[in-house]
Amino acid sequence: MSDAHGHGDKPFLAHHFEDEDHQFDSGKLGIWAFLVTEILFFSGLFCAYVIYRAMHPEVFTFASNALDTQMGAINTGVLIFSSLTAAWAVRNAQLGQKTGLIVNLSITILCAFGFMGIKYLEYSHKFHLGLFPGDKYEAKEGAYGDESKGNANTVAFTSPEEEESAEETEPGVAFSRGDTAEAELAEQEAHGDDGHGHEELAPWNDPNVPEATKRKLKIFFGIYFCMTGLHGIHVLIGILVLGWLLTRAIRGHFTPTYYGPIDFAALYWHLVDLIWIYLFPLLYLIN
Amino acid sequence: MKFQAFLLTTLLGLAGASAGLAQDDAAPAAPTAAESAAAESAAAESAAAESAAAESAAAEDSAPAAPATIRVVDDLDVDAVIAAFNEGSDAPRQFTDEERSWIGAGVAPGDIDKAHQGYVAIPSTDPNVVIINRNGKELRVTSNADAGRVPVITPDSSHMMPFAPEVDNGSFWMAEAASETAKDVDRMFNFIMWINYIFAAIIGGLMVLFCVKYRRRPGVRADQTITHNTPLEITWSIIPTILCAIMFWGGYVTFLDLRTPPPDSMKVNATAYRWGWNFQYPSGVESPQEFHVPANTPIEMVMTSTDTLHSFHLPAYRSKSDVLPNRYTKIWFNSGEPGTYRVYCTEYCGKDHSNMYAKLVVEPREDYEAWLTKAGNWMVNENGEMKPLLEIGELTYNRRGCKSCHSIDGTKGTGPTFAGLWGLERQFDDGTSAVADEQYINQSIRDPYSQVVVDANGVSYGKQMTIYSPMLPVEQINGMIEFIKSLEGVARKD
Amino acid sequence: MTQVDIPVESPVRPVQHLDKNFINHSKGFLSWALTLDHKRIGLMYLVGISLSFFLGGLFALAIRLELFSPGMQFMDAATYNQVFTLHGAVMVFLFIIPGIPAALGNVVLPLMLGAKDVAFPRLNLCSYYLWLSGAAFFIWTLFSNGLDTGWTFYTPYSTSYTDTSVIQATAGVFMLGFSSIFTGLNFLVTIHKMRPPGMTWHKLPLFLWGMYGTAIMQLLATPVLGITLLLLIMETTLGIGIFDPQKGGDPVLYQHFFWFYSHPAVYIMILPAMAVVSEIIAAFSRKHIFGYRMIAYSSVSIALLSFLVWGHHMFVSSESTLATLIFSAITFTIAIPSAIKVFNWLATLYKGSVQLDTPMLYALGFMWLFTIGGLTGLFLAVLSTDVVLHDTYFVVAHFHYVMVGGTLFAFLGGLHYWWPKMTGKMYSETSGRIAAVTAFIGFNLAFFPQFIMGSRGMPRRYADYTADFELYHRLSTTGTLILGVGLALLAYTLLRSLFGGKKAPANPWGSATIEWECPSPPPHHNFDHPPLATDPYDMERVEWDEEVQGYVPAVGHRPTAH
Repeated sequence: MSDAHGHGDKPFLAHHFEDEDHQFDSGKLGIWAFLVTEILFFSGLFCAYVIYRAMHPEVFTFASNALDTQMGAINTGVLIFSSLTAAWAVRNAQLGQKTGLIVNLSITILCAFGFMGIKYLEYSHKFHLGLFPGDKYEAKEGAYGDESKGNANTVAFTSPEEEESAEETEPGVAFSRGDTAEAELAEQEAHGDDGHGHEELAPWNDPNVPEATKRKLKIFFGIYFCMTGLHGIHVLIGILVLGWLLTRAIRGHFTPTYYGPIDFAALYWHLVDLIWIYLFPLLYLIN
Repeated sequence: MKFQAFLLTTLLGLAGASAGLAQDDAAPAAPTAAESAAAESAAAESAAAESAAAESAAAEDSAPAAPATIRVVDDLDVDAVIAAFNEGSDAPRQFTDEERSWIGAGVAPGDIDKAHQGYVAIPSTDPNVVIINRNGKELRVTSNADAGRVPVITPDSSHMMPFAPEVDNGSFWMAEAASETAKDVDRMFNFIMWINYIFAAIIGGLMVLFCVKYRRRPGVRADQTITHNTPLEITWSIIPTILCAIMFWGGYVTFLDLRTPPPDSMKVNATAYRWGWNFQYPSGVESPQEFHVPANTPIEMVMTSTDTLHSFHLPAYRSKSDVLPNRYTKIWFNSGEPGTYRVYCTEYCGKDHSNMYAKLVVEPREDYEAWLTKAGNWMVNENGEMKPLLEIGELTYNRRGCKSCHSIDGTKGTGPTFAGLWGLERQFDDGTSAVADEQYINQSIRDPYSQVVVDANGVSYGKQMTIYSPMLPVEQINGMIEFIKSLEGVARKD
Repeated sequence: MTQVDIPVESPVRPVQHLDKNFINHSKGFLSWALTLDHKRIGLMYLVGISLSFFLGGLFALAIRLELFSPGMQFMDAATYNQVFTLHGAVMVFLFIIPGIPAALGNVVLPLMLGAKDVAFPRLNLCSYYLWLSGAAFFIWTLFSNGLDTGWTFYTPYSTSYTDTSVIQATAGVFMLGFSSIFTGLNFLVTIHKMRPPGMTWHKLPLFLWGMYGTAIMQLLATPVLGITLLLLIMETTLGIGIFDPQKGGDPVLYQHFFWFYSHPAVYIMILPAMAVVSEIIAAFSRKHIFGYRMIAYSSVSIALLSFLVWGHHMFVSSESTLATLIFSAITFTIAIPSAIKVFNWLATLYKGSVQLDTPMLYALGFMWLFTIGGLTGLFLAVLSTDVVLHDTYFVVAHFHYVMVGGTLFAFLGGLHYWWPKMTGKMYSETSGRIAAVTAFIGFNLAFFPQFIMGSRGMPRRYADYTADFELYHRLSTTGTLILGVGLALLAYTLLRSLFGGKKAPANPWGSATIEWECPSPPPHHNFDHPPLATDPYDMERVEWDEEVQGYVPAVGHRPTAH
């Protein structure tokens, strides 16, 4: 590049800043402004969540049973821990501890991968049960529904499945406040006698469930996949950014006077963590 | 109104448009009520009409294959029209009372271009002659006048803007208001308009004055001492604030009037679909496109949509509300004096958004009652017996707007033609196919997007059709099946 | 830099031109494509948005020609729907929103601050490429199935009833949104952190106040558009049902989300325009701007209030009466800062030394057209009259007066104002003025009749109409053609100046803001040392100099030796 953007003696001080502090302060303001933007970006989804939960409270409490609280809790722990190591990495960078910086960044990235791994397990389980976001996708892969009927017990997720069915009498109570079709559905669910063990039949696969109810359940999963999916994309971006910083840390770019990028990435990572801390109770813990 | 005509004519001259057009639009207009009443009150014998009819007969001889000629009739005499229509015919057509009322009621879509919609059309024996009554004004035939075709006078000739045009009966800014509430809104409008005039005059005037008076001159420097003036700035902040407060409050009060129906108002349900309106009365009577109400009655509209967003706009009553799927919205208006008014859709809803009109007819209570009875019995003949399925199908085809997209003469429209459809192998855009039988037609009407047909070039017709499942009872669907069966073997041109 | 030390009282003039400037200091495609220089990025934006404007203009012309007569002339209704949609979408997303901030702002903002660049040059380049990708997606839309949803993408039509390329278009808008966010973020930080010594908040030129308000709105509103469009894409592709009434969703929620962005977006379009006009009017009146603080504060208050008025787009969309009451009331509060600005500009003209050069003609045109646009906005803020006028041509005329008469005219004014600085060339003043007057006349003829036909009931987005509106439509089409002639002459004037224009002096207009202190065009790094900022509207600081045919610092205000 022909633009000489750098001060000779300070390779990472851009030419248009007076000194390192000036550059750091500008970056800090920039990342905070960006985080505000991010919060507003998610706010649309939270807003949609609030509105649809207010519109169909029973659907939310019921459908939330399909989510695996254990996995969610583990993921929450993983992210909180990674936030700690991210903050620690900033401290390392400020003190010029190269090894500590590399170790902490690596742990953060590993945690992020761990989080995505657990997310992958959760998602694939749901897809296996036919819980796709939106109806078109499900319609296209209609076979999934039948398959899950037969195989539900053989997949690795039997225990949450059972846990869930044990709780299914509770939503029945919630449904009696809602419309009668749903109450009937819950009734059928609780005393299922259609030949299959009712543990095997998720309500979204049950042919006895009216289409209208299935559609409402779809809204929950639409919101669930949008919120966690968008959050997951942010985690992936975080992995890329942290990975890039890790390579720079290994090359020894960061010094006590130049550690802005680590600080900014850590702030971003905290936000990603914080959003998950809201998502977890809102989606997993609402019954 | 004269001022408007004057101003616009002048501006038009400036714009270099044709003088003939200017004359046409600036000509003094007759009251609208008279126009709409023309068809009904046609019993009165009119020498002018007869002479016009005779003239049209003369035109037949002189221009047998020429492009459509437009004849103008001042006051329509239905009997004279029918006489002219049947003149020289071996099998004179018998017009029922209902058909008589259609004569002059409008022009069918596609038969004549939009420029002439809203004018009164009369069938003529010569397929190349279209007679149009527009209160004595000469009409032009634009290049896309559909030459060689006669308006098909059917019950659905009311489809697509069949009303008499609202000619300049209002002020420069607003068309004539039809109710007291509407006049209140106009008062509000005029109040704001005066504020607009005054502020525009002050700002524009000062701008010009300053630019001229303080234009740059050698040796004269700008006065650098004036950088702010707190009292002045406070003044020009407070005055607009007070005016805004007044406007806000006035607007809110009139808005409440527009939105709060009197408790004794008559309720009419309206269902919007792409692209039309269906009105349902408390007695259960349904009327597509045509909306009759008794005069001087508060009417409350309860509206919903079967597909996308629409908006019910009654300009004459200054009333409007969006119409949403899965939700009911309400507005009301006081019908006021008899007359014919426009209903527009003002929320963009796809291809034929600009053709989604309905006609509001305000008529004396007796006429309304009579119309209601007739509208309720459209599937029944004079003796109170059910009409044959085929006839019900044909009427349904005309009433429900099928004809605006599906031709019966084989030409391709927005949708595939019905001609020769029966028994045909249909190719769908998902690669499957089916034979056009009862099942296929039923499903196409109730759930059209489940099987979207492709045309001869393999291009999909797309998701254009109205979903009729919430609206069409089974006998009408069966009628449609019969009707389409009856068109078996007609040549297709797609 | 070749600037020489100048003794304070020396008659030596500051450097007017440099052999090496930002345009020619390096050559080759990559030196532009990968540049981090805000001025080059600004110029690349300028080329891009000008082409978008041309494309949107062609669609506008097609619309007006089609509407010249009732009945369909040369397209069918489906084509017409695509044309008006693409006109709106291209103009709004590709031209008006990025127009002033990204094209003019990028060039001018750091110069005005005496800074060497914006705070984050790489992010700036990234913004540009996001804009370019968004534009590419629009081109893709054009060449796939087009778009017929209206630029607002209202559901459920956009999700369930159209066969056009909604996904490409919304993905494009999504990218354009992030381009806008990054530009706003960059400007916000730049204005906060890169001000030169002496430039306190109350010495900030009004252009920067306007850009600051714009940046706030870009940062806080655009992400909501982003997520809305993402949901729309999810809805269209997967059918998650959030906006689809058939699945228990709520189409009106989409409108709330959309207007929560798009109302601030209206001010994202108009605030920079007001900012440009404040500069031009002061410069060409050779007078200190009147009521500096009121103009500055009104910019920020408009920015903040703009977040509270989105509901006035939905007075007839089944909004509750209480909500309409609140939104109508807040809408009026936003009218007042706008009115204050107009009065302040008027007072700036008073006892000024007014020179009607091309930028000033556009600024005065803006003042008049924005006044009309603003006043007619009152009808739409008043609940009962809005019910009549909503979705009619009255609204079309109103927002064209604000967006075209306002933003476009201010953009063109700013373009002419900073053209000598950006390109180092003077354009022909005569043909510039003729173009400005022609465009002004054409614009009024095109859009004033639309007020009348709108209040008389002509609904918007109609491919066809009844004969009683024919006259108004014909006037409007005629006006559009005149406007087109004016704009063509403008393009000719500016392009010709690039090849045959005189060399521009550093300060051709006599403005006192910092960007005029560096040579025209500026060198690569703008200023060797941050200049000392004083009152940006102290016009006595510069005086006319016959020899350089421009303004130079007055005796006593010569730049001090570095």
